[in-house]
Amino acid sequence: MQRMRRLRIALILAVVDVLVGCGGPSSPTAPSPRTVAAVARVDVDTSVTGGQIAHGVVTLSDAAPEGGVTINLTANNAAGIPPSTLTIPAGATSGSFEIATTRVATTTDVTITARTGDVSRTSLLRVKIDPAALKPAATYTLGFSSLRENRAAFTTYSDWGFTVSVVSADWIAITTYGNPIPFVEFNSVAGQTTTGEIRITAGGAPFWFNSIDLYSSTTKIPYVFEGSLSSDPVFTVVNVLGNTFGSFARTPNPRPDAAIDVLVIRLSNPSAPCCSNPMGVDNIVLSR
Amino acid sequence: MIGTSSRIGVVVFGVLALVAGGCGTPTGPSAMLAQVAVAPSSVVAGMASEATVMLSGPAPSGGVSVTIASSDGAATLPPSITINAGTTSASFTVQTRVVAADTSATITVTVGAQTRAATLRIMAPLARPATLDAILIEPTLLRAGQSARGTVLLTSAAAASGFTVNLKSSNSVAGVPVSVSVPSGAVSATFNVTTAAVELDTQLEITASAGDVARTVSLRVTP
Repeated sequence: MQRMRRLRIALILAVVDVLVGCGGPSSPTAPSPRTVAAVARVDVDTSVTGGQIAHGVVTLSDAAPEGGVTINLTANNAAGIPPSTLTIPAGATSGSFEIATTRVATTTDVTITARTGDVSRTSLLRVKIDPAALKPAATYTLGFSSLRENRAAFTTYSDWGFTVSVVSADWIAITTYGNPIPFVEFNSVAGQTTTGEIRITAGGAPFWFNSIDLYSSTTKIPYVFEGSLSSDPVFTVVNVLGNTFGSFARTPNPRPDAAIDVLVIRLSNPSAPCCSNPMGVDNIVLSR
Repeated sequence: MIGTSSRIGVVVFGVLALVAGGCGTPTGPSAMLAQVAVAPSSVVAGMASEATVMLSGPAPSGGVSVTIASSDGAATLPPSITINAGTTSASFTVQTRVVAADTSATITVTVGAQTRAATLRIMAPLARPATLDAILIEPTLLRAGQSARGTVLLTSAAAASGFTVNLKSSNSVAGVPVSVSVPSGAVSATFNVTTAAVELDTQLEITASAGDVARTVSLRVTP
């Protein structure tokens, strides 16, 4: 009886061994699937000034087979135009291409897509504004004239297509003083230095910064002007205006000829140990 | 004789203790917010500093979320970080903006109802000679016989001749070299802190000094 049971167990084990195929030398080898070269990645220049040529490279997962591999290339914005196809020859694993770009009015991100069959990869190209092609047409003064409520919190102001946004400190509108009224200010408590920062844009369009009126009640005015275009720094001005004793002082930008698309005005308000101090701005003069 | 209700109570207590202990976390469940340190504590405006948040013990399972704030817009930082389970600290970058006047920003970290703060001095971009900025020692709680790593930090890069920082321990239980030299162009130097046997918990101070600037850090040595 026991012998029969042992035989049955041995038989079952033998069947299982065959079914599982333990990989011994006599096991038949299954044919490996044929590899197909697909797009592994596409890389393009990070950024380029509009009107110039950008470059890209498509890399395959394997060497291209006989006859080569045809890659379809597309862009989601006409600011960057790749060739419609790229052929990578047999044996090669990558191929390069050029992207023609156009001049742009605002910084434009273009997604380049490379596709083979149902496999696609993308890469981002930033097309930047060409400052050499720009000239200002008109000048505007942002005087905060639509602010009506005295001491109301000030966070953002739009005029002439420009937007002024508060970045740091608690700014308020003052409608009882200005150059002329109203203007915007922030306070620093006694004995502290507080940083007040505003950011000015024109919806992504380039513009020029000419001057700003700065005000402080009792202190000097340390200020920073930072201008950038397509995220690239254009100028940084660090300076200190002497005590204006409560008057507004027109403060020119030493780089009024430089096109920018973001302007940051950063004021340091160094109040005296005795007293808090208001500091503010009026009449931001810009061109576009 | 222990009654049924007592036994249930013991079991419940044991389960709660296991849950609170974070499935084998080696310390108690209440990792307290110990301190926040900013190094260097003075930077030229536009440069970055690094802040480190430290707990009194390893963070429990799930980690500890720390809320971060700066008192001034000249210093920007992430709104929160997480101290991972089993670790006692985490660091984050404090980026400063270019300002035209020296500015102090208070960096405040909060865990639940606990708050700690450190001050970062942001200096307007003018040339200044290097001075001693801070001394750091890690760990600050040692068993007798263990050693710790100390670091002295300068406010800016050392001059061509280097920068010497004098060191002193308030108790012979902890030994430090007489001085440490920061090489030309560097902003920090490290040194070793050794400890001797103690019979009682011993609190002591390590002081770094250079010119008229001195910085002190506390150290605790246990038997």
